[in-house]
Amino acid sequence: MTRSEFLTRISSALGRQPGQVAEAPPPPLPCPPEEDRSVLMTRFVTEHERVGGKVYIVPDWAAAKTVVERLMSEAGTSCYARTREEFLDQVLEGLALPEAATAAEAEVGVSGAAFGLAETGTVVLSSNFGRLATLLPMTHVILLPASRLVAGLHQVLETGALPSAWMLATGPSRSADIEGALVTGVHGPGRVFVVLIENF
Amino acid sequence: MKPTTERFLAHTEQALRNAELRGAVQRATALLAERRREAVASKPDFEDLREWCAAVKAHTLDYLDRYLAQLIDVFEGRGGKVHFAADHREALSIVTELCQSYGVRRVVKAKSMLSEEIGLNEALQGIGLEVIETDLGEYILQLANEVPSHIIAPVVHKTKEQIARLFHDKLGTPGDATPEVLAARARAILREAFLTAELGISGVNFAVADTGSLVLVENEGNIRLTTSAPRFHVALMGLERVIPRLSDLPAFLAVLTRSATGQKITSYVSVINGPRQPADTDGPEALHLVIVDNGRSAVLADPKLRDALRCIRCGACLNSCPVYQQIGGHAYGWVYPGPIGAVLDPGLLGLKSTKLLPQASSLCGACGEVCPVKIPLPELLIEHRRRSVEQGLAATSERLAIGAFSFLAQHPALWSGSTALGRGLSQLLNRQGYLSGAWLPVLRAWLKERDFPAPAKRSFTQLWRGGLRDEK
Repeated sequence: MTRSEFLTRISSALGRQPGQVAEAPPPPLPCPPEEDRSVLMTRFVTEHERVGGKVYIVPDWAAAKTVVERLMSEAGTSCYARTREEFLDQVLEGLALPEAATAAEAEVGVSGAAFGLAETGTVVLSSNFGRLATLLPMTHVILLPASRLVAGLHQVLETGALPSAWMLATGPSRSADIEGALVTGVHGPGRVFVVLIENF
Repeated sequence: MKPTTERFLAHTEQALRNAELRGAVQRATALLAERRREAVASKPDFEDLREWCAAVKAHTLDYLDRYLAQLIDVFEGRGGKVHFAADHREALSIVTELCQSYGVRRVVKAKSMLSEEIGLNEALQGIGLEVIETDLGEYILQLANEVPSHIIAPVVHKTKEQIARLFHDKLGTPGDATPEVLAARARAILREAFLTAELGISGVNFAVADTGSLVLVENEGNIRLTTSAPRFHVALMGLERVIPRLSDLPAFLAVLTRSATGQKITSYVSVINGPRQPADTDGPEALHLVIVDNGRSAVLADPKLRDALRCIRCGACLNSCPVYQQIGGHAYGWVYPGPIGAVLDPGLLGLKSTKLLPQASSLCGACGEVCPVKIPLPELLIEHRRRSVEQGLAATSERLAIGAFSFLAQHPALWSGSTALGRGLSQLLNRQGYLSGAWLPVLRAWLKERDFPAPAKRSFTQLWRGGLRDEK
């Protein structure tokens, strides 16, 4: 069926001509208010850890690097995957471990996040920097400057420029398909760590 | 999927005799309903959100042609390609032709009820493709050669012991493997599939008209993988999945995830705005959207049933339904079970073959109370019943019985005569205050599961006239 046949069928189901002027949709709901960074941080940590993630709050990039190194050695990984944000360089440079040739080989994926949503403890990942490094490895480490915390999804959607995909991730991959039993790490990462950099 | 809705009664009897199925469905629906209740209770403005989402969906349906046109323009402007399917045959030929033109051999699929509706897996296998379901529940069903029985929890009808045995037989895991072991095995097998499949097929939870975005909601990550790893992505959507603005999304997500699983948000929400951009390092090269009618425009044209197209597929009405809790989803005989199925299936398939589904309700109203977009499900169930009678689809025995009742109720003398007669006869069956008589046709069915207290020897009217009126 062509586009115009398809749309004409719908117009006639609705009993009118195509292109007829529409009423405006109901007005959008008010956007939840912005909050102080400290409020956002507390809420983000609570919500993210409630669903099984873990947040480390560090003062600066050097401290972030220490945490990332420790997480990698705990994961017993031989190589890591990363997304392409430039700010990751200062954390990943000089690591003893090599970067994996493909994300599929890595046990740890390190990425930035475009936003952190305090309301739900969510990190917003942008396809601009790569998708698979945040998805294939069993452990996902997210470096999130505290300045990127916002109250909720509303604030993200208002920013305008859209990447080919936003991926909202909140804690580990999970399934309850087998009799409601919670299993983590079904397809995506089973272990999720957010390193929240307080002064950036 | 070929409907078997006409065999609803046989399916129901079968389900009621299956203790494992009933136990599994009752445990799962109780758990999901409880999680929903808690999530709603902890969101003080939930009722306002529900009201607003219902209004936005109703508005979108009223101007669906306009919003679809906008969606298509923006989506194609961002590099995607839209296809239009009048019915399941057209949808299947669009998808099979896409697969053939890309030279695809292996397809990974994320859960999509629409793909079940149109029978996509059989069609793709029919042209020699390997099709792999990647949602854990759907993967289990594919191994078992079964179809989903719940909109969001497809394998709700199976116990973990049954699934462990299935994996043991098909994949060689221990017969008493835990859900963790089973999931890890599935992860390993499906991981290889994601990395080797050339094309991924998904559904769509919300299609956003003003930004051309496709929104997909999940917990496992298989949808992200399906839409990120293969070279090509084909998304299937029913024509009613549209919301007007990206700014509408937070409210719809909030009601969907709370109603479905009681979560504030699911582990993953993908907002797909287009195929891979030149600077991107991964993601599909080509993005296709197949918009499917398959009976929906007829439902849209029906001013009463149109409301059913607001459905955002959360499954809350299934979990709340005392009938679904007893019989599970397969008994309904088609893709969409439970109260929404009993309303939608007659709209999509016609009432003739589905007339029994709207009868599968006690009209308790629970489904209407939980629906996040306030579809008046109980009213629509009654509407289907009314139409069944109008179209002469009701059973002869029912027509005769209701006709007789109506005649008696309009003739007071006959009414009191026949009720007196009934009362007299019932005393013949009175055994210590309860009716016996399991040899009588209608009474037999009743007495199988319940007692029937014998009617009093004298009616209230008789007592009233005999002096009750004068007692204080």
